[in-house]
Amino acid sequence: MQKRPSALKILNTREKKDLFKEINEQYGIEKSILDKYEYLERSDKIWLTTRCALSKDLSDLKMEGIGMLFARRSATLKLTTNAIQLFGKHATKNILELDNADAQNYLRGLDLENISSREKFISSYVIVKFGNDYLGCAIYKDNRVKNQLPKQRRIKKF
Amino acid sequence: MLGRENKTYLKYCKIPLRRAIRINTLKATVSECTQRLKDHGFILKPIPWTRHGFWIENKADIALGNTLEHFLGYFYVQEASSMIPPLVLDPKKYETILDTCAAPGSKTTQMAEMMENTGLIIANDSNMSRIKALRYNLDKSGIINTIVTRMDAAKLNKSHIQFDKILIDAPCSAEGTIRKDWKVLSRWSETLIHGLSRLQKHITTNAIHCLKPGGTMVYSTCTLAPEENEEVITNLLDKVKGLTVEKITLDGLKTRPGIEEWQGRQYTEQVKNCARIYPQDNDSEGFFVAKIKKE
Repeated sequence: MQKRPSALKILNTREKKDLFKEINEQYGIEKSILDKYEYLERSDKIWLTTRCALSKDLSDLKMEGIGMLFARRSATLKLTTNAIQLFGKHATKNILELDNADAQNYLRGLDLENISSREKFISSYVIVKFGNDYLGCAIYKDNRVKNQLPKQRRIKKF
Repeated sequence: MLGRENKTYLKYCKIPLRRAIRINTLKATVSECTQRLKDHGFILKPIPWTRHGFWIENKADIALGNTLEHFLGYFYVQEASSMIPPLVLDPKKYETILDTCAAPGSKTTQMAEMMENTGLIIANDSNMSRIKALRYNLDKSGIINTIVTRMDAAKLNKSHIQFDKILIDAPCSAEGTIRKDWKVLSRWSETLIHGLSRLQKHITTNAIHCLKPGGTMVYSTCTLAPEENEEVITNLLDKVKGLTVEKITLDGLKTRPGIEEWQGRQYTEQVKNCARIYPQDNDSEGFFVAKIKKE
């Protein structure tokens, strides 16, 4: 029997089905986009990787990371910045569109005030979009945007 | 080594290196990304040996690293000759690849892009701070098909995985990067070269055992020292039977054959199939690439 990274749990078919359902309900991303990958979970974090990666004997490798950190679980599911930049174009719900000035402030890592949106959001975690680009994640509540961009990804000056 | 051409070589060593980028087609199309960079005021010149690579010919009002396109991982800043080893290895969809000395990840991300994020790349490095940079670049580029490992590259043969292809972009004295950083001269010594040569021989002779029969291994360095190049390949072919050095040809790239003799040492005749890339030949960094086929 092939060994897996010990602390990571591979999501089974049922768990993946639940995950895809949750993502579809929250962000509108279809199962067909996500089900070609495998998912691993540890505490509140979910990674995605290829089927090929999990088909190998990894027992003698000193692993530092596998695939991409995809999402974090809290009250609702929060997709990571990297996941949004890769899969955001497939999302149809919970998308907050920013104008140029607000997008620049978001990229600097600032929180935003007086941001209104016509869309009624399903959860407070929203996908931030500017033009045709999907920038990352934010918490949206009472017309305020709490920035969720990782510090090292922020652009200091334009 | 270069004879009369030494002057031209030295002249090019003094000319600052042109910046180059590779479009990340996992996230953007070449036409979309190049148009957006042109809109910022950048002048792009295609790199002849790769469809996704461009030289940046000017400075624009915005720094390349501060553009939205860079933030989104639509392109990767990568030296033009550094794009050559993955092109020579030519990883395909669903293959299993070993990248023995992967950090900071320019070639790993390039290979993942060529594989369309399928299959598996074991991206290894021995240094933790370099691994952090590797993981950052993989994430930013949207790479899914990698497992990052921290192992001594000379001990990777302990892995149970047999790879379709292996890239060894070996730690080296970096003579070829002098146009980017003159500090390499202050670190240069014959002792350094001989020490690195020993390490490179260890890495190659161990890694070859992880390669499937019929598989391909590419060995590359950004140095022109024969002790770190042709000597390493000769040592590998002496120690391991059933290996062939294949000729390297990439459209638009000028290369020269490996040298068969250096300071009284005779190398295997097969090294003439290796590619030496001098700064003056393609207005790039200096590089060495060898493509080895296992029976």
